Amino acid sequence: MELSPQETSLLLFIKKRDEVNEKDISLDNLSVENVRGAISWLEKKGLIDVRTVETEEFSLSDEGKTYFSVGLPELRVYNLLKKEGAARIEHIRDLLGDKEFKIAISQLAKLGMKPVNGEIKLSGKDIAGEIILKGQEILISIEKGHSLVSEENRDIMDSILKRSGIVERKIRKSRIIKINEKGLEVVGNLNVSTDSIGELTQEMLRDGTWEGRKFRAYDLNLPGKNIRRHGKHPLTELIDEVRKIFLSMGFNELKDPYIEFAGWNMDALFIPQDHPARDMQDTFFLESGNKLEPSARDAALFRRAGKIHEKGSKNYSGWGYKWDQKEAERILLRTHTTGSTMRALSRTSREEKAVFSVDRVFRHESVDWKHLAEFHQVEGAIHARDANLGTLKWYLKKFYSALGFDHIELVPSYYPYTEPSLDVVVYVNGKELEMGGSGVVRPEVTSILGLKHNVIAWGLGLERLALLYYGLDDLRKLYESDLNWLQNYRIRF
Amino acid sequence: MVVVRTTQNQLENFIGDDWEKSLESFSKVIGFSFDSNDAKDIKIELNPDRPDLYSIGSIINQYFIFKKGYPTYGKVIIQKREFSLENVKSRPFFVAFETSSYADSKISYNINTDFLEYSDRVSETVGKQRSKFSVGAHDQQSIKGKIKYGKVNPETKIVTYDGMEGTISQLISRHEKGIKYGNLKSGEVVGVLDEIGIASVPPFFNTYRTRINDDTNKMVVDISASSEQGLMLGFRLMAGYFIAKGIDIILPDVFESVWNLYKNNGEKVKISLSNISKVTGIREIKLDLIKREINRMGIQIDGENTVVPLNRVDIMGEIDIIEDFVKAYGVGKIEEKSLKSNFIGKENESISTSEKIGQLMVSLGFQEVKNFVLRKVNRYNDKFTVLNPKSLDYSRIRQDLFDGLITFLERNKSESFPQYIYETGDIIDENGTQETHMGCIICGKGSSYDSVKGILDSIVLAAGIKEVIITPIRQINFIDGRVGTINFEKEKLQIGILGEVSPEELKMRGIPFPASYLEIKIAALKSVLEVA
Repeated sequence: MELSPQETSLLLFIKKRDEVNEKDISLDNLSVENVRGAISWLEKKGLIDVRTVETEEFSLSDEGKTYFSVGLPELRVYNLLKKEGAARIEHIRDLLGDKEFKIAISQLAKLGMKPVNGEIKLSGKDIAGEIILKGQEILISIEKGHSLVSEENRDIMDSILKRSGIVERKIRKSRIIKINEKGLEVVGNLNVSTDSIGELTQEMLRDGTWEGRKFRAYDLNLPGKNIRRHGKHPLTELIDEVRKIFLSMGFNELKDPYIEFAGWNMDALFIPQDHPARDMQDTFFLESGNKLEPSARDAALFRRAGKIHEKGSKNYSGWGYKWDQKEAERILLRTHTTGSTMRALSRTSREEKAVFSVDRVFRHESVDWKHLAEFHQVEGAIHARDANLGTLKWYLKKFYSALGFDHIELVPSYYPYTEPSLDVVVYVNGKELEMGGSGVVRPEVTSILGLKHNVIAWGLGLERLALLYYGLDDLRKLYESDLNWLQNYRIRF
Repeated sequence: MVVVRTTQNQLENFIGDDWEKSLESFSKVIGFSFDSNDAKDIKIELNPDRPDLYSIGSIINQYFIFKKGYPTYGKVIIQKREFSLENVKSRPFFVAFETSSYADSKISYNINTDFLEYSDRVSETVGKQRSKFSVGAHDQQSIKGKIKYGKVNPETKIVTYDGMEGTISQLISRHEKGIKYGNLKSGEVVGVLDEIGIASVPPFFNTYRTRINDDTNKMVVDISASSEQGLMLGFRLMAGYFIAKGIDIILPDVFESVWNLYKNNGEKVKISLSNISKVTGIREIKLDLIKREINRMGIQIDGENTVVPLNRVDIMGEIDIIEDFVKAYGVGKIEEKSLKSNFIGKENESISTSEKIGQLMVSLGFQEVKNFVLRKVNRYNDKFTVLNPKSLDYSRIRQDLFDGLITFLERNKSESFPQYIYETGDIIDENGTQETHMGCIICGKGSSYDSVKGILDSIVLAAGIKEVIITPIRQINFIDGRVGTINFEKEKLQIGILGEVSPEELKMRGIPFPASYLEIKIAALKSVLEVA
């Protein structure tokens, strides 16, 4: 049986060992990739037995490291209760600050320690304390590099994992290999001829020592040398694809700043000032040392928006509340690109125009496997005399078809600035999947912006599309990527 | 999204054996989703624009209107009633009404429990956790004599609907609802009273004496609000709940102005066939078709006007009626049509330049990576502070691409080296200006200043720029004497920075090889190209 030099080295390395984990194999002349390739080929040739094992690895996030140092918020409250017997919730809030206070109260409530009459007491049976202490022990253990969790503490570990941003979990796969009888037999018969030529070198060509000698025949099906691919990020590939579609459909590309006045992000889009999307829980609000003033044109537009919010326009009733200019002048990280889109259309309010953007937006979310605090929004909009539901359907069908979804279904939905609003449902492996939103922009918005015609618009989240395209199960992989994945993901041709 | 929960048994009772199919097709009319995996806990997720459907009874009612093709509404009867309203500072807007008896109605669900769930859900969402309006519901038989709304003594003892006893002050600090809504407490406490005593203390409690019980078949509902808008929303949604189900309400004449506000500003919406055509794209649309379809949605037509149901607070004008028409008619039936206008697509220049730089980097052997704009650390002071970060790890807006790229190396230190990585992305600098940059790192054996200088030279050569000058600077994270800014035309224009990463930085991150770094401002490079 023909063996490559890599396979021979590896067989010789493992022949006197019992089971070896591939990550523990270290051979001077072989890279990690060489070892991986040799294992695969030796397994294929039936010379070694291979089994795959999965190991869980945990590490602490920065927040987790803070709790490692100062203790979990609930532990600090528990320690206080052990010392004092009871504590007023105001005292706990002062001690921990607002954020950690909420965490502590919520965690203690889960363990049955709820505030009664504004006070928390230590209960008679101290089961909660045991669980809290074990939670802290787990953090300590992870920080010290002991990433395995015993079965008895598994429930506590799971509850810590569910709490966003403390512990990060990774599953690593590795192969355990062992030489088998056939392998031992082949090793025993190894006879490396010194006369035949393996690698043809520059020296041989120069001094002619290759002449008259035989070249050792290679196994032509062995894996080749590992050449690492380099290229664009998968999201960029996808962005390029989406851009090409829009450009081919005649859309102008937009790029605008991430920081917006709430007036553009919300008020101009007829989102009322008490809308849930404007809460601190949904939007990243910003503060600047030097107060940012909207331009005179923007300020006037915000005031026009305010009037329409309060009293409506033409035959529309408006929201009927007291609008506040200061709210519109707050600055934030834009939650969508729609403000930019509408601003671009309003600059040439009498012209028919089609615009698009694929750019980042921000939402007040904890980062975990299915949520990101920032992602890319794909958005297209058309301001035209005959823009209507029928033309919107036409564009949606063409656009989604170009993305690879030949069949779409439109279902009624709700967005504050479009009416009618429709969600786009696509079918993937026979399952319905809500992919994006669309609609005809409300007349109140076109009134605020002074637009002459109807506006139709649609959008979707790029990362959601990326999950489908690249078969991912964790959104973070797109931003906190492994180099190995970036260089080996499957390209869509 | 608002979730209304029910069970398979209930849906079978209300709709019939084919409930799933019926609910599925109705969900595509209204635009809600439902999860029926657990027969004991079926969740219906509704969009926030339809608070009138925030109970299973209301959804079922709307389903039957749609199925039947027209609504049967109850009436609002204005009657003289003895009612006393005191001027109060806290929650100064108030209305109350009485329902007619629903004992003999053919409604298959329990109105009492359904309304309590509905009013609670609506007060939490539309009522902004009762800050905008709150609702009290009472057994009509238990209310005695003249009703009064006004200030009450906080030291008055009451028993809450769930049996907790104490003074109002004590209960606000002890009772679950008191703690939850404690932030709404102001200087005065207001209450709804009858001749026996307190019936409710908005926005906190209803009392045990007047609570809704199994025998209740007529209710008195009170709504207190902090603004006229809140009062109208609360009134329309609460009174509209009963009206939509064919139950009359009796509104004391003292509140006639509330009713008139709806009658004069909200009840009638004018529609025009040309506008409907313009929005939908349906040509030659007929009034009969409009009438038939919107009737199914519960909207009636009176001459040129549509009559907006009392509980449809989402309808603000003609476009909302058009949407209901589209829902009933079916968006699938609307013909697709291309625009008459043709447009010519145009790339954004900055994005196009970034794309070209990216292609160049790939051709030089680099792998593109992407990092978050929100980060933990920045080199300089921030122009903008995130007021409400979710976590420290994502609390600052990046000012350069260095931290993201070096963190990438740290995360990938177990991969083989050398690693050539780059990123093009936006930053917001210390002056608050957003710019697109390209940053790259070469990390591996032998990576040094001249490695990235070689990359810069390649970019400069590819761009046709004749000369750039590197001016030494001192920069944290880099080795002194091996870091500088990249300048064009004798420092007139700075287009970036390059240097060799300090061993302290590498050690701190456990990166096992030397690294060198280059970051270019794409707009500045582009402006150099225009000069060159």
